[in-house]
Amino acid sequence: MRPMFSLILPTYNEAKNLPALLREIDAAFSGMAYEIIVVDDDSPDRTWEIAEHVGGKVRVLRRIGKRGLSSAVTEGFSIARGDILAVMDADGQHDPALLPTMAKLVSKNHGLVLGSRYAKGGSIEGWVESRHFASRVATAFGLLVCRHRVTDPMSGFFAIDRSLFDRIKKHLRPRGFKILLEIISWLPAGTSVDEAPLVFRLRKAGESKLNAQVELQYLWQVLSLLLKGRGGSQGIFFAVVLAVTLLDFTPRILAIGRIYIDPAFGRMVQTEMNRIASEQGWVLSDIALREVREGGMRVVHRQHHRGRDESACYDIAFRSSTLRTCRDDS
Amino acid sequence: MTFIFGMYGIALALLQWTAGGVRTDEAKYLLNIPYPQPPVMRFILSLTENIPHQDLLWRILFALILVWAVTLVWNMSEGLSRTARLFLSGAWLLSAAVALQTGTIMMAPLTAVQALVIVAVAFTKKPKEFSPAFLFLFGLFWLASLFTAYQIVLFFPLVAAVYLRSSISRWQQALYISGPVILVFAYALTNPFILGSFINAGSENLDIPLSWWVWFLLREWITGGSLVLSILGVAGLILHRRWELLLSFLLVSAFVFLSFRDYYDIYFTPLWIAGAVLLFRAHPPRDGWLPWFLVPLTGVTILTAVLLPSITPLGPAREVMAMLQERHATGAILISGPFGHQWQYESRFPVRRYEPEFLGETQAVICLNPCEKIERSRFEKIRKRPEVWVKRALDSDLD
Repeated sequence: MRPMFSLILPTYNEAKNLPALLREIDAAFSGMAYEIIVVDDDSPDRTWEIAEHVGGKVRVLRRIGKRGLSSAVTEGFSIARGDILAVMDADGQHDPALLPTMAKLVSKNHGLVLGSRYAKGGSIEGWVESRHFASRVATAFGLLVCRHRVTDPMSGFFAIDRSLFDRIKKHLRPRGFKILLEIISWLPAGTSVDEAPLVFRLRKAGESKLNAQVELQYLWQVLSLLLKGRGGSQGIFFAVVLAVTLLDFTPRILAIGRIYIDPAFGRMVQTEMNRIASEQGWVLSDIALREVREGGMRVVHRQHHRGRDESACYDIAFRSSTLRTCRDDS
Repeated sequence: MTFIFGMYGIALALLQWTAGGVRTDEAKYLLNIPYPQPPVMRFILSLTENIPHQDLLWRILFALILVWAVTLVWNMSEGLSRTARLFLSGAWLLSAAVALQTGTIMMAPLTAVQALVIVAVAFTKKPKEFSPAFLFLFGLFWLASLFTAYQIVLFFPLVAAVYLRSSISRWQQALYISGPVILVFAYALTNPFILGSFINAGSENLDIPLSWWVWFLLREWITGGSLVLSILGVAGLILHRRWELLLSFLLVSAFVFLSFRDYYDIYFTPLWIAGAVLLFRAHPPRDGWLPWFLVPLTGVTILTAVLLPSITPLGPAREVMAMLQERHATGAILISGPFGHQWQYESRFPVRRYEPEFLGETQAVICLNPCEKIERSRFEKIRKRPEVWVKRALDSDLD
């Protein structure tokens, strides 16, 4: 039996784009079992009405008093009848020709397939350089919460196996625009995640919904996922552990750094330490070099034997046999 | 079985303990001397400094870690016949490298167990299914292992393979693989003796003829798996060409070749186990004769114990220091000639190198090399080998 495909189109003021898009989708799905669910947030331009007129394989969910792309997607998924659930933007930027490829990959691997602008073969039409840069930064930030290796976690074009979605839906807290990011962050380890290269087209009509509020929502979404221990939060914690330890070592390395930079100076320090050890009868490995400076060095001598070890800090001038107890024993 | 293996480990630990005393390297770890090894394990050891028979405690604990690591071998060989798994477990426990180092307080056996953990993780069939939490914990293990002994870096390719096959992002892979290595390198820079010891270890044997080096390396390969496991291991590594195992094998070989230390043979054992598992997976052995291979393997171990005894009397440090302790005197103890850290470990008093001008403030002098300028009027000899001189009672009272 052929799997059924449910495509969710979240809409808000897409009346001008929707008819052409539905035709493209119909052409792409030729010979496949599918349904389209338009989830409209009560658009002032009456997008929902246009979708209802199409009828046939198109079902409409008109949400009154509710806004948000992520929640629209999850509500659409919840009423979908398909074995494969998918979502794409209704503004014409996503190419419906990718849908059959995505359907095949989901049927084969029972995982997730996303249309990626950054996968090999993918691209973005008409963006200025600053927008490319901002998108790259936001993508890198989003990757922090991704368990799986993907290139475009902010894509709005993806398909997922129904049973896989059912397994993770209880975790999802739909907010903002990036439901895919939320989904990827909750995918079980070992889930197959494939990417189909997406040529991101220019919006056909209407206005982009990207604004400062959306950006802040995205920031909050990533942070809250990190706080829930998703994706790379362990990696970040690991990086913090390494960084704090490195910070502890750094002053100690800097204090004696000259012996590594200037080999002749290093050899002189070594000779001086051997001389002092010999004069004092110390075992060389009981001496720790704490600081070197022009004309002298600071060492800590610790008597290693069982029980309480005595240790003392000394400032030693080069070529002098006098040991001075450190004034500020640090 | 756990109990029997535990008893086996404790028996070997007691055997080491009866040699009387500690080796210089063992003393270095027990006293937390910051050179050359990093701090994690030696810090933990030093926390028990005040416990009587501290060395016995750690001999037993280290021995138990080494013998109970056999469960890793058992898990790694899942899918093989029960006889093959029993053979591999026996090979771990009875190979010369493991059996003769069980009960020592050295970092090499501990590193070998850590390497076995890494090999076992690298052998998991589906690394893609490792959860981020597991990979995080494995990263901490890798970090702790590097801060236990630098030599674990020889198994870097295996760690890299685990992360590269996992499904986490590239930046996390790079972080987990390289971050700990960079950190331990930074730690090494905090103490110039550490880098100095690396250079010494690599250059101190340069005057030894090449044929000796090659023979030494061959000997280490053999004792690493008591010949039988070594052959199976090498065959498995070569036939199956897993890059991470081969690279680790080359790194360990190069390190052993340069360092010339008997006890590094144990670094080969986890690799031999891995090679043997691969071999048995591809060519399941006939169970009937497999257990008999443990006989020559044990034979090689016994032969190694006789020809290259590692359980030998550990010198008179414990005896001499106990003798001085009984005198209830105070002051430093001077030692003439080169001496190991075991003298510091056994002493309850500061130990200094002998110089005649320190005689005034000492209670005793131990002459491993001839001592010059000892005044017989102030010191009396109480032992011949090594010569031990103690301050006469009157002189001691005056001080």
